[in-house]
Amino acid sequence: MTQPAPARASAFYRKEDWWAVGIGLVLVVASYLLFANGASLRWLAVLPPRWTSFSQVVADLGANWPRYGAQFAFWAVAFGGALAVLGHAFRAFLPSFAVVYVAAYAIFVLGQWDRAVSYNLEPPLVALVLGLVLANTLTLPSWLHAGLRGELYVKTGIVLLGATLPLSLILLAGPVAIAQASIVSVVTFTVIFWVAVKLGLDRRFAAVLGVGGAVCGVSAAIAVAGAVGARKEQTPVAIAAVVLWAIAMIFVLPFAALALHLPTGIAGAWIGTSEFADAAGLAAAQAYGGFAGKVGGSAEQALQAFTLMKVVGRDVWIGVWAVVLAVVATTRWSEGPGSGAPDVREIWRRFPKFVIGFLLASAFVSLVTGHGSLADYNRVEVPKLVAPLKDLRSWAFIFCFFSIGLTTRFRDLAATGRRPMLAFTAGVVVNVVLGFVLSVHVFGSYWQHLGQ
Amino acid sequence: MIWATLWRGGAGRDGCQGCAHFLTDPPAVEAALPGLAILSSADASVRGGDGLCLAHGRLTNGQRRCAAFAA
Repeated sequence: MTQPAPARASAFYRKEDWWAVGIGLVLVVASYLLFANGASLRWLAVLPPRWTSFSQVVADLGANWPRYGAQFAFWAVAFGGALAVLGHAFRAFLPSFAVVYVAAYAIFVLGQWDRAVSYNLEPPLVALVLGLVLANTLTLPSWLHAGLRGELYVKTGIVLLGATLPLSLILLAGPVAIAQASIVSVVTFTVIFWVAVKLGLDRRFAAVLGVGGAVCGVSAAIAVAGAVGARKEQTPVAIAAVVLWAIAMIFVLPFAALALHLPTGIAGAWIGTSEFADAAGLAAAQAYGGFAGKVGGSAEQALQAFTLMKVVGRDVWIGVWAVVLAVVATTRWSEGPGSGAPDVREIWRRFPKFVIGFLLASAFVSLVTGHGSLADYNRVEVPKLVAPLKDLRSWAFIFCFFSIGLTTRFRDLAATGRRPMLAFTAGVVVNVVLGFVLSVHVFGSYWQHLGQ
Repeated sequence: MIWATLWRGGAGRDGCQGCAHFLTDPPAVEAALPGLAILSSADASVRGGDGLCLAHGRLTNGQRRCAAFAA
């Protein structure tokens, strides 16, 4: 009996998740090898300095331009090479990514201004707003689109984030994150699905909208659309609903949390529970981390709580959601031609593989730094081993946030229509309220003291 | 019946791979689904082996071949 040839698109090297894992882990291992031999990755992980006078920025650029050039070359080769294997043209990527890099540098410079916090000029929000304004007021040249690969950038950043998160913290906090995220995911999905069906929408469409609000945004929507066999025109509507609310929540959640003076760990958990997409939530969580000092907790706690809640608590379950809904669609809903069939192997096939890189990075750094005291770790290993990875992570995230802004052209999104938007919005309201109650009142003391 | 289908992996060798109507090329999928590349990507693992069935206008995991299959 002949077996089917593996689908070209299913080969592991044809998925950006594995490339993000590879790029992230190469940096983590390189950082360790340099550290173990008395050097550091710091030379490559250059950042604009904190400044009060712009002459300091000019002086830094004059002194460090070879480092910025090397860093640009590294990112360009790593991301461009990965995209070339994925079928994108390297020559098209390079000039576009050069624009992204220069914009990211300018955004960093603004964020390093000593008065930036006073004006809430958090780099993630600046990157996003700048991109949104440019994309929606100008007609961007088509060549610029090739470098706007926000998903590859954010996945690489999340792998690097793993290097700054002790494995013990993930193991201890994981069950709490999974419990909280599961409650919110199931309730949110149920609300969106129920309202959508009551409003007369097709069940497959209702399921796509439901997971878009409950699990991991656009990624969940396309995964479940394929699993249940949703109609082609329904997916862009779900994408538009997710994007519109996700962009709004990037601004609403941090400033609402700030108005409520929530500690960074609690706000990070709330954002992780109530944002719809990894990249959007990271922008909100990183922006809130910048408020550390105005509110309790550290900047890292916001990112750590968000990542535990969103990545560990919600993202990893997308394959299970897809298979369960495929079974329900096949057995309970009317079938049409071309609607596919359930397959248990999709739990692994759809698993967001960058999470494996995130866990491996955490395990590796925990292993190589776990032999000394906390004081030694903070004095020696943080500045030479971990901090360069953290700064490279910040670059990857800014590339992502700027790309999101530049690709969000509201006029290009599908018209959502009243009923889908109403159903999705009902889920948003429940999600935000329930996420707040769980993050602040039920598990508040846990998230507030995360990692301490 | 459904459990057998679930366990053996959809329709096995009788899937949509190779069908002229089954669109899986990531850039083409992103072009067909506006907004997909803003907060996700057609190159993402979560998409699995999904494609767009141009014959029936559906997004599908391609696990069940239909009468419209065209090599």
